[in-house]
Amino acid sequence: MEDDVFTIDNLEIHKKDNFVIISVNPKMYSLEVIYSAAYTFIDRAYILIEGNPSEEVLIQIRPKTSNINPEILGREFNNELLNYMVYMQRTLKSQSIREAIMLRVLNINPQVKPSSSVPNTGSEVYIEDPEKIAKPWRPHD
Amino acid sequence: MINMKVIANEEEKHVLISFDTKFYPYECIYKAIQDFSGSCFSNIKGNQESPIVILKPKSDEINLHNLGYEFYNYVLGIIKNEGKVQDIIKKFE
Repeated sequence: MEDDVFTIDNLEIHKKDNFVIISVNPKMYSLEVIYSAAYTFIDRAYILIEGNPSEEVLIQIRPKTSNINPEILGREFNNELLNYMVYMQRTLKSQSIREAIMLRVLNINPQVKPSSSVPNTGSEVYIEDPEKIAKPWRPHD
Repeated sequence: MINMKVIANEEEKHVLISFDTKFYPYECIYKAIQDFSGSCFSNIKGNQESPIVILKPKSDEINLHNLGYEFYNYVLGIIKNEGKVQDIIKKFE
C-alpha cells in the first residue's frame, strides 16, 4: 500500500488525493441506513457508493473543498450510520403506536351514511308513525 | 480497492462516469441525464449492469472532475428523494 494511504478501523484514508473510503458491512447497517447517511454529506462532499450490496459496501467520500479533513468526514459518516440505525429501529418500534394514533384520528369524526331503510321524506327529521296519528304541531290547533 | 469511476478527458473536454446499477438504478441515471441536459451534451454507453455516462459541458468554465462527482451526488439525491432505496433492497432479498 502506498505511503499516503493508511487504514484506521473501517476507514481507508487517501491523504494525497484527499478522500476516504469507508467499508460498511450491509448485515450491520441496511442499505436504507447507508443511503440516508450518505445523503446528509452531499452538501460538503462527493459521494460514490460501490461494492457488493450483500457483503461489503464501499462509500467513497471526497470533500468538495481541500480544507475539510477526509478522516473527520469518515468518522462523521460512521456516526451518521449509527444515528440512522437508531432512528430506523425507533421508527419500527413505534410503528404500531403511530398506526393506532392515525386510525383514531381518522375515526374521531365518522361520516355516517344515512340508512337505506329510512325513506327520504324531504324533511330533516324522520319519525316512525305506523298508526298514522302524528300531526305537525301548530300553536293554535 | 476502488476503481476510477470518474475519468475526465481534458483534451476532448468530456467526462466519463461509470455506474454500478446494483447501487444506482438505471432509471435514476436517465433522470439525472435529462436534468443535466440543459448544461451538458450527454451520451450513454456500456451495458445494462454498468452504464457509462459521457457528459460534455456546453460551457468551458465547468470543471470536468467536479461535474462527474456532482452528477454522482445528483443521482444519489434522486434515489433518496424518489424512494428508490426500497427497490434496490428488494433486488437483493
